[in-house]
Amino acid sequence: MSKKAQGFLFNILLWAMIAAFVFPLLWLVLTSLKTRVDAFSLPPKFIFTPTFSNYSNVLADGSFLHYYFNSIKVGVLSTLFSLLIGIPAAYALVRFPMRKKEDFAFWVLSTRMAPPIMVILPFYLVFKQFNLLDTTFGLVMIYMTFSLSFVLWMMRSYFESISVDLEDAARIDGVSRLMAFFKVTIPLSAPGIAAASIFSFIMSWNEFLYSLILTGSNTKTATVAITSFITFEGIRWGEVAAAGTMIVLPVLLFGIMIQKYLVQGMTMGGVK
Amino acid sequence: MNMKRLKLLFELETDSAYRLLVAPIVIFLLAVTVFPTLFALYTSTQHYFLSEPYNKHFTGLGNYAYMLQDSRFWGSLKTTFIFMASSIVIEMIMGIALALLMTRKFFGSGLAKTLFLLPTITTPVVVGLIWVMLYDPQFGFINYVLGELGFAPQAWLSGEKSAIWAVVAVDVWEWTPFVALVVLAGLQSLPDEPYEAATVDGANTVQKFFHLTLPLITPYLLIAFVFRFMDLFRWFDTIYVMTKGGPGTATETLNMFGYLTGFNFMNVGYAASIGLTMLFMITAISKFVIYLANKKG
Amino acid sequence: MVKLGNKKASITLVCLMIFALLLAACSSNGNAGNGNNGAGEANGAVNGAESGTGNGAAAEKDKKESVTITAAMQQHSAVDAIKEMLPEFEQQTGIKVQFDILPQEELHSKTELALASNSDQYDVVMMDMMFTTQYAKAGWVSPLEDLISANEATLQSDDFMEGFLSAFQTDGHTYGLPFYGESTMLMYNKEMFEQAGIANPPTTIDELIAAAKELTKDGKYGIAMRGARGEGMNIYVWAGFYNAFGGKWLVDGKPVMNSPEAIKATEVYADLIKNYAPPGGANFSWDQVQLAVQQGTVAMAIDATNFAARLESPENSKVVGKIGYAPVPSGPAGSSPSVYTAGLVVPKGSEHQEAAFEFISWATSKEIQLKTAIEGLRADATRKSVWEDQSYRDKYNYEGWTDVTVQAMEEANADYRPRIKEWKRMGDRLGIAVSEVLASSDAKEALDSAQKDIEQFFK
Repeated sequence: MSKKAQGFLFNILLWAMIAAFVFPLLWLVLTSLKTRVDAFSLPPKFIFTPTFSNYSNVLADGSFLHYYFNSIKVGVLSTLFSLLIGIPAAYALVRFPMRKKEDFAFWVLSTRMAPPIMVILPFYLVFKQFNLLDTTFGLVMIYMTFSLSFVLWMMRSYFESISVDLEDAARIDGVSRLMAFFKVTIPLSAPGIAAASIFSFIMSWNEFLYSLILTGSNTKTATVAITSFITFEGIRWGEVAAAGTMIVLPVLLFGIMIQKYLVQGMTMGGVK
Repeated sequence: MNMKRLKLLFELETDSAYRLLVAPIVIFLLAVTVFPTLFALYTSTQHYFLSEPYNKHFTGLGNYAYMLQDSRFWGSLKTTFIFMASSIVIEMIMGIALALLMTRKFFGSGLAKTLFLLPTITTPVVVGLIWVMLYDPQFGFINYVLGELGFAPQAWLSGEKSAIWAVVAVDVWEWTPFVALVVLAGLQSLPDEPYEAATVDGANTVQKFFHLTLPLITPYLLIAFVFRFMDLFRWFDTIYVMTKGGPGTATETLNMFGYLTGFNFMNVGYAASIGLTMLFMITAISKFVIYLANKKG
Repeated sequence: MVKLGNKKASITLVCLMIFALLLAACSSNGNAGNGNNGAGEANGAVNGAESGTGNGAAAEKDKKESVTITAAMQQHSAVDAIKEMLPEFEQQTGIKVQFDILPQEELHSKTELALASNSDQYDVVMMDMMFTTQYAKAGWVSPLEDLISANEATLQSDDFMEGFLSAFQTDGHTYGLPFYGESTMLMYNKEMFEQAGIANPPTTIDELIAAAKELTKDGKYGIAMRGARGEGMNIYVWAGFYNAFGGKWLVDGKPVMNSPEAIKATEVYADLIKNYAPPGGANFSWDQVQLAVQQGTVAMAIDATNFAARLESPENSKVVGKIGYAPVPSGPAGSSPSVYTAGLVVPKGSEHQEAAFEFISWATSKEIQLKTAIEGLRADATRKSVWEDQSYRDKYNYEGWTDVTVQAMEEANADYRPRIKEWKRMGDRLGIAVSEVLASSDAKEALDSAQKDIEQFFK
């Protein structure tokens, strides 16, 4: 076989594999555009008259849209707060002489490891005591526990890659370290911050269990709301697929946006 | 403390200013972790059914004693380990293979890398729902394809034997790309010299892979391992949506068992002891792995 | 593809996020805002309701103006229909209703948490009949008999089918009103019966087995029944066999799950599913059973009476008009149709007891049941007068269906599955045992080991 043909075959093979990985997502989108009869017909239909009725059913009484916005709200707020207290700590870890740095970083990471089943009941009872059940604030607090560890680790590795000389140069020019941090370090790490924020947003967006237990009709998030299409009378697959598509779409778009940082993000800066 | 020192502190000019920077995160995390842990410790010593509030009393280590002789606990522990071990092994092998393929130049490699990562970031609940659809024994796409190829339809998620593998397959689908891209990052950071030297020595591709590549990318493999391990141990959403631990207890992982105990049977005392046991295991194992990683790297 | 390699892009991104946040804040003001307002003013209304029983009706109505109650429900077409009628209810009573809609298991976990912590999160909860004793014993739900008798003139509680209402009664108290009710029946595909030359639907379990055997051929299967584990899943249908073979749940307050009758019933159940159900049948949940009938892949199914509405709807089903309905085949101890009902109960922690009661009596009234049934698709009414109503019978005019259903509902015993406080765990353990037998285990072994575990629950 010639080199060229080999290369061609290799391309085809690789793309077939990629197609296999993407197929389930494609199937979700297709199902969301099918009528119930089309969705269950054998052989499966790839060509059909698309219908948007599933989407209009999902959006009909406005509650799903409301929960969808809840997801956005909780995601954005928990991200902002995590950045606010995570970035300074990450900076401290890198630039200041601190004892037991590794232990500290591991401790922060370990808060992410606690099995939800252990902490969720205590949270439920405390939340009830302080009237935090079914509030955005309560959920934001919970989501911060895992996005924080993430922001800390990722930003730590990002700051490590920025030379301290740049800051020192600014300080020689007479600004305080605080100002140097704001004027030099932060702008330089903007891409890292952007990636970390998107990650922390995706994590809170995808979360299910805490939201299930700790929210109610006001602050429920989209991942929980999608289960309401699993009904007494059967699973409304069309609606499930439409709602699923709506949930997955922003995550995928964000993912494509920060594609360069995805791996770095998912390993909390462990891989650059 | 005088004003000047205070000013220096806030401008971060003193070394102890780091306290100021880490204080918020420490206070926050202490507040949201210490209490639940203490509460879980307390609850785990109680005979406590949420549904029988009139019958709550101290039992000491009773819940732990019950755990030791509860066959369902051991069963779920076994399921967890089968599940983790097979997922991680398959993902590692496939991940390495894929990464090796992707180091070669090919058409649209940038786009491919992006598409490839989509399963990993897809919302787990939705992942579960998608696969329930695909696995459906009567109308699912998978059985349809098998049927066309002349195979008998399978029960997948509902088969006592097949269920756990069906669930593993979903995890492999979701996370192999992640492992592959971590490994790929490792492969791209490889130095050229040792390879040139090996070529001069007449080593073949296979030898090069086992003697050079594998040791060099070990730190990357360890990272992938730690993250997969942590996530798999507490993996919940997808299993919950797909099987809720069934059929029988075929896919009941420790996490699932804990959830059912606490929120289905409302046995919160026992659930707390399961949770604490899990926390202990996961911390110990992660510490050990990270220790290994630091020693190597 | 956007690359965030520079400062500008990051700033854009942050702006985008802030914008999204504002958007979310605005939208939630629009949607959830009324909920918050309601909660704020609600306290006043409670005080009003408590002290104002003697006041003039007008004044009370005035105070009720702002009450908002929250109902935790499962998704159901009746809930959709009720949602649309809510403005009417609000106009009549001044009570606003919010729904928290969740699937069965999730609903159970969440409401039980709320009940256990005496929370005021929910004012109305849709409760599975199997929890009546447990919740009553725990003191979680309010007894309603006083309110019922005070409103008997409009409520007409004796119009509810006996089996359904009694499912919410224990120790002389009534805790809920039935919102949804079903029993079980045998549904069979007449076309397939004809082709196989079987004239009549089986009336005994022996005939059922013979028919299932006969009908399993040419890629079609004899029967589908629930196999998936769960006290409301495989146990729900299996219990019919269990009772039909004369199995007893409790003897002198002690569980007996491994009697010879129990073993025989389990063997028969497993035999039917293993040999004559479609692949994967061992873990079918009810909606897969339903799908199998709708698609014409199985000839028979024993499952909920309300399947009919979806079997006979052309947009869901390929077997419209081809299905026959018959009573559950009988065993040595007779035929045992199931009873399942979901009721609306009022948690003790609710601060709007009266408003909540007003809502549940409205939602279960004849008028609403009939209206939701005629406009929507619900073959699960709980009132006799609805079943007798001509417009209802005209709409659900599937051959023989109403008669068989009403008969099954009247015969059914609320303790078809024992309503004891240990049921949830006991039922789940049994579900595992049956699941194991469906997979491969020996019935005696599986039940023996279930018996051992279940005895622990009673200690």
